Amino acid sequence: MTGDVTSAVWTAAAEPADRGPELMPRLGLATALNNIATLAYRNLIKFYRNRQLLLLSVVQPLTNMMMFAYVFNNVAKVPGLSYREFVIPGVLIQAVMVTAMRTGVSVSYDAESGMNDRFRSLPIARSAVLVGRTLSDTARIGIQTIVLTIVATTVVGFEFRHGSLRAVAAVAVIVLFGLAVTSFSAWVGLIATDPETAQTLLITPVLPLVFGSSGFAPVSSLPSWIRVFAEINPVTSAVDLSRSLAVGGPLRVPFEHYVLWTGGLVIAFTFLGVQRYQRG
Amino acid sequence: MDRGVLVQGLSKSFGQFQALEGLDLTVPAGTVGAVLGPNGAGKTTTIRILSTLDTADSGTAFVGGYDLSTAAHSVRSIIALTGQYAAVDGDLSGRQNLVMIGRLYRLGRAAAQRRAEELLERFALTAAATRLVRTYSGGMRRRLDLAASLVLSPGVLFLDEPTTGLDPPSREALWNVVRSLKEGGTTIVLTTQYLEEADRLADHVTVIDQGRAVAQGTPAELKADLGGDILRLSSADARTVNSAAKFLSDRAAGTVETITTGSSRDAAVAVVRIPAASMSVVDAVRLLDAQGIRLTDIELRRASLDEVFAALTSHRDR
Repeated sequence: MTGDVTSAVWTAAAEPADRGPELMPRLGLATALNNIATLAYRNLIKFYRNRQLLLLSVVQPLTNMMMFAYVFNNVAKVPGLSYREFVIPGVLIQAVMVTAMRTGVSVSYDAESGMNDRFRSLPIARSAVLVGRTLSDTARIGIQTIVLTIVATTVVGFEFRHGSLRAVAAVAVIVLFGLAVTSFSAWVGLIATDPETAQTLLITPVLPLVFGSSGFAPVSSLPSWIRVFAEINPVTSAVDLSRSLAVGGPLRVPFEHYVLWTGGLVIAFTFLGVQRYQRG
Repeated sequence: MDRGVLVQGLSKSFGQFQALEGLDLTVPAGTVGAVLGPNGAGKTTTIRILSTLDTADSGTAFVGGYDLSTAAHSVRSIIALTGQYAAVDGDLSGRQNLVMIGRLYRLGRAAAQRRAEELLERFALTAAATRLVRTYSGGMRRRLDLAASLVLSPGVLFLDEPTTGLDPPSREALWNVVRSLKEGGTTIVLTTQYLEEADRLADHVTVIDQGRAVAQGTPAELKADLGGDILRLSSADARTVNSAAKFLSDRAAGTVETITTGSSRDAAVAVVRIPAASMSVVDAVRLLDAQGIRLTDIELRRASLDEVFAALTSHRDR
């Protein structure tokens, strides 16, 4: 192995320290943003270097999209819309949920590997590790959602019917919902004892949330007891708002639900996460 | 306030487990202090508290002149920590790891790059700079971990069992790094289970056991004060050995360490620890003679540091 341990190698390193102790600038918003950017960048490099994961994070949801667009085509009758068009926001959200699960696993891995100890002993903003993580993973979700949306419009025949501004808003709704889910996921990663437990803890709510929503069938077509759940389900608020922006439909109620859910989840779990992180 | 490390009455429990129980520790500025103890003595807990990763339940601690309970951020700005398990990112290259740390210290992009190159060079990792750390050997990882701690030369450096798992040449070389950092003015606190390491490196040793300091001083002082002498008494008869050991330890204000009764063919043996130079073999023989106790053999020698350590930390099953 190149550059392996020899006495000479270590001894070469034995020169006197070249700097005295230095005091860091006081913590402030600029430092916090700088720290967050550095750590988000770190996560993105790691993701970019992992080619298998990079490829899979697009291929896996694409496979899903093809399944729902072609195999399960006509699972439910939707007035005024082909099922293929109806299901696309649901498929996009499902991809968000699956990708966001990785957040908790990565956070848990950083805790287990001692990386968090290194970060926590540095003079950086207390929120930086967590927020850097949720932002970088939301950026991943953004790229994933854009790629999927392009395939949906060019291959599957999904059509944004209300102009490009609402199209952008429809995609942004999905991506910002990703920030809420990654914030939750990151917190789970911190309270889980190890990465495997984090994964199991996260997988448990994902399927009911995704399928007990308006993503794959209209809420009105669901059995009544699921309907109650689906109506308050945060996933429903994101799907409904995104769908209304893309193909038309009511905006006000889904918007209100969406803002409450997404804003509430981001604030609550960022707060809980930073607190948990601080405790170590 | 002293720029070194000052700890008084530090306590910490994890549920039922009392990890630290009123620990006192002093490492003057610019010196190397060793925290020596067996597994589970509280070494890692001590380092974790001093490097702000955990908070103590009670007690006071100052690091580099800053109070840990009120100025944790200032403490973080002057310390560096190299843990028992190398905390470097396996999915980044060696260079990316160091640049990241530099950026977190708010060095500019160019300055962080430059510092990374210097450290890679200094720790002979330039050839492996772009390789993922996951592919590094154990020694390379450890070097990168130490390099990461020196991105901004710290005022106080914590090394938690820095040589565990290193081969002898690497260990010797790491010791050289520690000595040179000390010459550069850095205060170093290291934990170790190896006496030799404490003996070779430290200006000051604190032996801890069950969360308390059980002895402290320079390595030489510890050897002189606590080592003392060891009397080894043998006889065919266990009772004779027993009474001889009790008698001599009383006379010399020593302690009976062990009494082993062998099988019928072997002699019973007692090991008695007495203060250094408090009794010669001749004295011992005369005293026993006067009591009418006859032994088959008496041996007297200086205690080794290992024996000092074993004696101090004898309740180690935890």
